[in-house]
Amino acid sequence: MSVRRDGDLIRLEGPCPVEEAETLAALLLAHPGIAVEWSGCTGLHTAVVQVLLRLRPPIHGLCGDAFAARWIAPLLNASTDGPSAQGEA
Amino acid sequence: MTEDAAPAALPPPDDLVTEFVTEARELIAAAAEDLLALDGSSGAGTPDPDVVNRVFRVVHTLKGSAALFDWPAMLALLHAAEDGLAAARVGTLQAGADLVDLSLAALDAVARWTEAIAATGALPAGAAAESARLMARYRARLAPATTAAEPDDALAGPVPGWAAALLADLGERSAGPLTALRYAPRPDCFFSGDDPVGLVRRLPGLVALRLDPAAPWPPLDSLDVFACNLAVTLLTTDPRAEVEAVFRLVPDQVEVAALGPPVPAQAAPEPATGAEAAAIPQSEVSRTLRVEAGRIDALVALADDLAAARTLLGEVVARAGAGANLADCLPALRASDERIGRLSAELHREAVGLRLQPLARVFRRFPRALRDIARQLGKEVTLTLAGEETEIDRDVAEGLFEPLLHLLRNAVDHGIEPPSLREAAGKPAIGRIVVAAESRAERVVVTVSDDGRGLDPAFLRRRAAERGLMAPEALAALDEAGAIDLIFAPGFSTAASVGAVSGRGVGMDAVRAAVARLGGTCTVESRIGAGTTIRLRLPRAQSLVRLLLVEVGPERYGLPMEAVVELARIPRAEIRDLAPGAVTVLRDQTVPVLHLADLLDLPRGPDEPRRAWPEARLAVVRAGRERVAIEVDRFAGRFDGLVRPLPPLAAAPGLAGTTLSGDGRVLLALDPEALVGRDDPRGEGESLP
Repeated sequence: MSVRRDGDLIRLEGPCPVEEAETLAALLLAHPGIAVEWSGCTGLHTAVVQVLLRLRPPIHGLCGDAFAARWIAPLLNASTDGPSAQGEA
Repeated sequence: MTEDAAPAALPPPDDLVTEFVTEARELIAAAAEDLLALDGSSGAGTPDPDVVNRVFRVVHTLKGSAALFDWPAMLALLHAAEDGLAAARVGTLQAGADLVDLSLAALDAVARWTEAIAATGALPAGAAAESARLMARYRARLAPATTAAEPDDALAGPVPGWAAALLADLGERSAGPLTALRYAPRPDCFFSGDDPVGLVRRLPGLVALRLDPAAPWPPLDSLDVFACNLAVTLLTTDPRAEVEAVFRLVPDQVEVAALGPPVPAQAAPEPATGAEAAAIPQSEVSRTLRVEAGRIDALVALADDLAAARTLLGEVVARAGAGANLADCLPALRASDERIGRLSAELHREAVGLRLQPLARVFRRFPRALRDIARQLGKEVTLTLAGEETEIDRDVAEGLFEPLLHLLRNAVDHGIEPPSLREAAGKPAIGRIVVAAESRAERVVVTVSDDGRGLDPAFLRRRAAERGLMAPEALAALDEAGAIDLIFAPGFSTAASVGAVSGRGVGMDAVRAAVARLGGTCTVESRIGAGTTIRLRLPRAQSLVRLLLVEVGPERYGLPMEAVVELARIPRAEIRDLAPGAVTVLRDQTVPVLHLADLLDLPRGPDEPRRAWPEARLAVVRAGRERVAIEVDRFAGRFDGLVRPLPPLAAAPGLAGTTLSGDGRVLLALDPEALVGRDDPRGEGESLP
């Protein structure tokens, strides 16, 4: 399972392919303000990145995918005031 | 309505080319006029932003049309012109006489090439050189500060406007040369299996990256997660050739520039680059429609008749106003009503006809797309098109491209086997895909068939069980067709069924949803080893729906007349309470009775006056094979309306869409089948005494 709700977090786990974008968007829209935890994530399709950019949930943890941790995380944190990565990228 | 002026002696050119030529002539003429207006006003002060926008859109549209053909010189020049105008739009480049002259020169070149294409079907000799010259002039204008500074660096061009913000992001810049890339993925790129960020990932030397919305984000209620609205800009130390190699499959969507060693950073306070203008949503592009002159004549004639009918009505009204007996006026009023009703129906039919266009416009884009897909996947496939002349509503045609492209990709990817397997199975080595359309009454049926491996119901059941899409008993109870239909279940990604292409392809549920938005349905038939056929049934044209108006409390709704079998008023005593619901007997048949207020979850009044009414008003509707009586408070007449589907996120079960009622109010049209199809015991409340 790549996108799942775990209490007050949405966890991204393993590779998150294009079709997960819909699941992620639905969860984020259904639970405004819910945070996304992505330390178990090993890759994100552009569609998933786009959902994060559009809906800007608070992001928890250091992305398990090194590329996303280095390049995508700063874009997501750029204009959110939510809690930033616990481990620093 | 432009006459096609191709000389008769020439062989008739491909009609797609003819269409391009016609469109290009119109667009160029419009843009040239606007540019001249811009030139006239530029001395006076700020140029009119609307005019700049208009010219930009024309060039953007032209570029999109030219991209369907293999005319690289024209495409590249239009691209450069678009960049120049985009910069003028956001104010980083002044829309002065300079830019106007250059844009006129570019349009002039495109116009000459268009005429050459009309005559010979190809770009004239020298087009490439002319295109390069004009492009160089655009480039010089977009980065004037650096052109003089780096005359000796043959490889490195000036810093394009869109890269300036990235350089500013970068702050301190390393000494080596950099490559800048701008990548505006097509909105439908996810459907063709592209993963733009995945491509960026393949650049080891990445030093700066931005992902910006390509167009302003649409509001959340029209969020489409599978429409790509990102523009990628990046800087990398990878050499230009390697960057181009990574992006070789999307050459029409990227722009690459080699940057020389550091130059003093230009002030770029606002990251407003051309990138944000690169993708304009389709709806913003100027919408023009070419129409046969005969159809316009018919419309004008109908409008004349309608005006005449209105004059007659006016005379009757004047007579009534002057004190004539109303009863005497009645026959004339009835005649006027009948005549105006007939004329307006005819006018509507003619107007809807204007919106029809042959599916060829969509289908013709597939051979090239299929060739690319097959090459990427290493398969051999032939494509046969049939029924391209079938006419369908223009919006439906436009909305069909993405789902059909997705189905084609699926067919190549999952349907067609590798040549060796095909030969072993006694099939021709080259796979065959047929896209066919035919008109059936008010519907158009489009099928995508392949002669590949077919769908295996046992596999689909297993996969649905693994994914927990259905309870095991429910899965076991599915017949073969039901199991095959599982491919449309949300969360059922066929992509993962072949390990090597994981992450490709959007689920078939997205296809079904896209088709449903167009007012159609989508079904599948398949035989193991013999192939798969996906069938789309689509509305041919927007049509008027006759609605029965019904009221509950203060609310008014429309029920489609075609679903209404009969209207009845029966004494309330004849409605009997049979757990779990109420029933009555109509024409010797037992019919369930449900109150519309309950079906729609409308709040119940405190005193429930309707239960005290001695009579119940029932609209008996067909729902599947059953008949169900829907109780309403009042019948309020009939109404012909054009029902538009609700936006996806506003959709609710039981609602078919909206229409405008005569007084301009929005009327909700009900979908009886979905309304009573809900397995909902709330109807029982109605049966209380």
